[in-house]
Amino acid sequence: MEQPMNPTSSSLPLRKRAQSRHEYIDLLAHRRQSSDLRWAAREWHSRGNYRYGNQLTREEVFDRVMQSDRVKHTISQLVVGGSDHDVLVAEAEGILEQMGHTQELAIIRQFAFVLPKIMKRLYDKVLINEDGVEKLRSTLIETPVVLLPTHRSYADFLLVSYIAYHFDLPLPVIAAGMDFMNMAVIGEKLRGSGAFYIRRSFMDNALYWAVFQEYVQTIVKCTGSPLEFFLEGTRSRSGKSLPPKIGLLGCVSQCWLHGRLPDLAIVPISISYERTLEEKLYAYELLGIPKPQESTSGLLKATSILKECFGDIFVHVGEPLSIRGFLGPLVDRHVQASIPSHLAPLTKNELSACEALGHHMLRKIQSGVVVSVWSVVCIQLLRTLWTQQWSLPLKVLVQDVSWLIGILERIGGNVAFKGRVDEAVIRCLKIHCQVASLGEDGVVYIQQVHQPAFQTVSNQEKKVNLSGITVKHAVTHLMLQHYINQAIHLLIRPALVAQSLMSLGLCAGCSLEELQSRFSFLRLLLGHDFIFEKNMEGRDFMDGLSILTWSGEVSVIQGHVHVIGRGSRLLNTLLDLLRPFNLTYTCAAQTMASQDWIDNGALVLGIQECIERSLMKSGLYSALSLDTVRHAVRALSKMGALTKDKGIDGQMILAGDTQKLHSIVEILGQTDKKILQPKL
Amino acid sequence: MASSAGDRLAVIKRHLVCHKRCRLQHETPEGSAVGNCSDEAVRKGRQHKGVGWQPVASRPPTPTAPTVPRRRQELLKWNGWGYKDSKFVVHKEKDYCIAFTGERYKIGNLVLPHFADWVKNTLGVKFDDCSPPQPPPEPQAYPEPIVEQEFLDEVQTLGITHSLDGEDRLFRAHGHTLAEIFTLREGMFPRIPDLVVWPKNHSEVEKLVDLASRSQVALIPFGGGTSVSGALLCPEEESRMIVSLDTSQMCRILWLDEKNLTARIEAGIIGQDLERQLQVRGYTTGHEPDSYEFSSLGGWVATRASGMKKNIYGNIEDLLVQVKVATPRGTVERYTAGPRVSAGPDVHHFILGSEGTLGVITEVTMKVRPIPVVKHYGSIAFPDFSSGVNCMREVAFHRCQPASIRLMDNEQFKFGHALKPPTDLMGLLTDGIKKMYITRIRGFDLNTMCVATLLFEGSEQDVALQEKRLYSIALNNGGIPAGEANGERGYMLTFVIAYIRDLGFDYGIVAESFETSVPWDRVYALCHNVKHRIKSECKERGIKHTFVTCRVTQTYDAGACVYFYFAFNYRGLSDPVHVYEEIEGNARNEILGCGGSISHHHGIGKVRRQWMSQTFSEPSLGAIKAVKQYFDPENIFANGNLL
Repeated sequence: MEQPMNPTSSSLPLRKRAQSRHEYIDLLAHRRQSSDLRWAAREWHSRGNYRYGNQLTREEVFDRVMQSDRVKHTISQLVVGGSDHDVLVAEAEGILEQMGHTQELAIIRQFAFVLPKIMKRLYDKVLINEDGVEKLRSTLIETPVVLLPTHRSYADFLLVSYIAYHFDLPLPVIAAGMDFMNMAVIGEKLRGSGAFYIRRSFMDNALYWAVFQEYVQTIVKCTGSPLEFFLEGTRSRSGKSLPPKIGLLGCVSQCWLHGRLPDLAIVPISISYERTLEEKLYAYELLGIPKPQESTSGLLKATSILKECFGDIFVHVGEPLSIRGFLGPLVDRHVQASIPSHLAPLTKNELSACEALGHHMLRKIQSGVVVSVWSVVCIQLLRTLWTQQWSLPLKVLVQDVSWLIGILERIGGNVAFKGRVDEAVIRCLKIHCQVASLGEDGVVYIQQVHQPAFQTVSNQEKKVNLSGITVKHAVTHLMLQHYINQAIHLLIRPALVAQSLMSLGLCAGCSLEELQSRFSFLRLLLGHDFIFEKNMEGRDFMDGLSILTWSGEVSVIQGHVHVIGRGSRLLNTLLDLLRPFNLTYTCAAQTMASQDWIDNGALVLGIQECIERSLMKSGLYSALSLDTVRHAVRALSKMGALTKDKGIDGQMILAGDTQKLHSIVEILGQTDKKILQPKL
Repeated sequence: MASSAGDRLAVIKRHLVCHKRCRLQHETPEGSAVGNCSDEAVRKGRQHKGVGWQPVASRPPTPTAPTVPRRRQELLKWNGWGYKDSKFVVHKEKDYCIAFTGERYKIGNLVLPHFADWVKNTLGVKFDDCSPPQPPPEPQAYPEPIVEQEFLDEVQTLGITHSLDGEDRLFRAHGHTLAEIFTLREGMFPRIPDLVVWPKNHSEVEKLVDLASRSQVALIPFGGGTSVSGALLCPEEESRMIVSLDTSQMCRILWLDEKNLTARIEAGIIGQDLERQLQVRGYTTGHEPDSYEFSSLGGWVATRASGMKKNIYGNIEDLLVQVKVATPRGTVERYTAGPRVSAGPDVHHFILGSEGTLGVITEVTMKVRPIPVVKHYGSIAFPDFSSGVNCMREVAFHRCQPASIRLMDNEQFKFGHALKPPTDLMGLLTDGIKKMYITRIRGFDLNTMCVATLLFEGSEQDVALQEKRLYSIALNNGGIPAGEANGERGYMLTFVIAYIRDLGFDYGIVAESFETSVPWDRVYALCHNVKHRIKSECKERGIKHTFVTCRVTQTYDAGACVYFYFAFNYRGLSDPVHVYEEIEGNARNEILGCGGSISHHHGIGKVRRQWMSQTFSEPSLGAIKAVKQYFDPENIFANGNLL
């Protein structure tokens, strides 16, 4: 383990609540005043190229990949296994041909012309922190950089490239899924703007794996072009962060782990949409109503959205993180350093360090998110819906929202609004008028978003079990939940502490140790839904608890935690936030315990059915989210509550550990008893 | 210490002389380059203008008397590198300029016109901000010696030369790491040897070791004092009397066997004396570590030293035929002088690299070779470092290394230029033409190009053949021959740097070198990564002016040796030595992470102990401990090196 020798002076302050408000500038402001054509055709040179980078053409990159030890070795191994050398070489070349990006300024210019036109239609402002951009530029000069944007919408895709064009930064090379490649025209245009295409799963294809790794590493090591990929792997339909995918991150980390680069900087980029383009699609998808295939015609059909307003986009370019600084203390590079690097796969320890890195980066990404007022509004709207009401007075809404914004800012959240809260609320109600609108009478009315026509549009391969009436309600719920989820990372720690308190019996109080161990359990259980850093339980717990004590609703006296009688507004809000998740996990555990299941798909549908049955009572429609259902299945399997067994007839079956499941249901159930009545 | 002066000079001069005359020097009694270093003259402090770059003096009256006297302080600096009379000085004329004093080296008494500017620009030196070192300590300033009276009496009875003098003790309390020299300039070691003894032969050493075992006294063997690993530092916590066992009076060549080309030599002899005495008889060991002016044979064995010309002659472990060591358990020896022995693990390898932890090396049988007829310098310019590395690799692949081949990076290439002596108009002209050829016609970028320096040795035919082969490999890798003078300057650089550090101290610059060995496929990445790591560590600490450079100094079948120089301006930092050590520590972490080793030839001492566990597995270290435990159960040799 490398014991870094640190400057003694700089003992890091434990947690900087960097409340220096970033200055965000609007990228579109200038575009609204001058010609897009001239903008796209302007003289363009990147400033901030990697000091030791080489400009490599597509062919040169291919050549390096084909000549690399890794690819040559893999081919020779496969030849030993009986394959034909020339066929394999041709196959590798084919893979490269399919994968490889080009980066033509001409195509970038086309996008630089079209994108502002579209963005000006859709968005009010595209805001970005310029200091982050400049820091990125100076980092790019010193070290290869990996850009990790959030993935919430297709709109993310070229946003970073457009920003690079805007600020004259080196253009990123972007890892993209195959589904984009098959889109007519657009697929090739994206390739020309720097996208390279990777198959979704190829772990069992040794040649593909070798070519892919070498390709990525060549880009990072030799060209110094910033590499952009989505850490979450896919668009997050739910609005929450998805668990990080370690494949690509591990692949680039290898450059440092194997001593091929002195360091690598990872830059988190948080893109926050005030209104997500795909909001409605996501709601249906989460219910299990499949999404249409990506296609250019689909895209053209979607142009109807051009008439709508989607508010602002906030782009926050975060602080670069040194891979060496993060991984250095976690790994022993010297142990592997005598093995030729193409023959040394990542060790278990290295992989787990990369996982920790992924979780850490997600946290960094989250901390850059700019929370919209709408997210806060949605929390209150959804709570209203749970009381079976579809409207509430603006005045009440504004009061609750102001209060909650105060809490969020205290926690360190960056809430996007200037001026008065009521104006901000009214503004976001306008943008989201499909979901909720303000009546003449000063009352906010929540809308039924579901259009029965939708289901006939999408092709119905999978059977949807949900009844029409459920879908009708659920779409609105899920759309609100989508925005709540965008802010939920801020509140999850105190919420889990609150829930732990509740499950231990609120009134009696409990010891700090008991509380923490319950917290740890819930954190583990919900660890797929909410991303926590590895080995940071203690810190997460203290963070959560300190918010509760700060609020004055909980106090810690001599190692005992008590809920103080007066007022429990925060506790109730936090508990409400977790209610849908609670329900999903409870139903998941019950469903697993009820019978054996033949496969995951059946189990997931079973759970959803179970949730639907309970909705009459609870009204928690957002619990239907398949995203959470799947996470629950994964988490319970990981905890050993669900195991894969061979059945009597040799078929695989999923069997639950009833005892474990019941105890989980019990823990979750206690919290749902609602000792405190929500005051709304 | 690899970066010493005289060896390079000596080599160069010898070669020049040989090349011109194509005859062995000992046949021409007067004016021959090598056989003429007189300690007599040196002791008197006279200097003779040398023809070559080597430390010069006239022929010694008795060829066996050591060059460095028992009172080392009479000839050598007490708080810096090398001879008292040789150092860099700053003059203020119209502008500041730097010159080198003394007449031992070729650049002696010359103003170096480009150097002051280079120092200002690269390291941000302000010449009016000079901080001279403290004066030599007053007699009462030395730590009071801990004296074991029984031991002292016994030493007196045995008639072994010894001293309790503060100067003598301080001189043997340190090597030449940055921290040690800094301490000499600004403070005092908490612990220095309490007594210095000068045994004359193996039997006196045996007696001393035996005596020490009986009276619980710690012994620290001392050879040439050029260690750069903290190996000579006295452990602070040692409460017993510490005796520095100075081997310098054991400096005879006991016999020379011309049939078998071996020589039996006492281990206290220093490199320049050994070479001089052998060369009078027409032989050389060919072992030339950069410190060979001052370092001793015993020290080479104890640290697994490496010589510049190892490609022809081998490193110390290849040159060693037999070794005799006095340990508390008795004398360690292998009786046969057979060229190779299969008899279990080679006991010699307990001793090679033992760093004075097991006993005192007293005698060594070493291979010798006839002095080669022809020596040529050469150099190759490369457009960038990576093509240089590729060329080195190919040379190693074909196993056609000349006596020495070294690749300097761009920073060092530029540094070499800064040390150019003044040139006349003709020189300027030819330089200009060369520069134009390289940059304009060949398209080399002065900010990326680098140079390899070459030294060829052998018969006229051999050398011609080697040159032909080497230059054709160079051409294949984009290199072009760049002349003999560049080669010479390259080798000069090595020794010059050792003296430069003392100048740097005066102006707020700390500098140090460290080295590693690394497999071929990682050479380039390691050089790049370590330099980058050092720069970024400096940046983190707010250091503005740094100079980091590396060179590939040795090639092997399976890898190469890489040597780093690192200097920075410490004005504004409270504890530059600590900062330096942190940064070097991180550089070593980077080296290990990139597949490099803990050390190629400097050894472990105390400063690199912490990385031993990343070098050997636990049982391997256990075996090393067990060997120590067996030879020295009471830890008489208590310098605390290695583990």
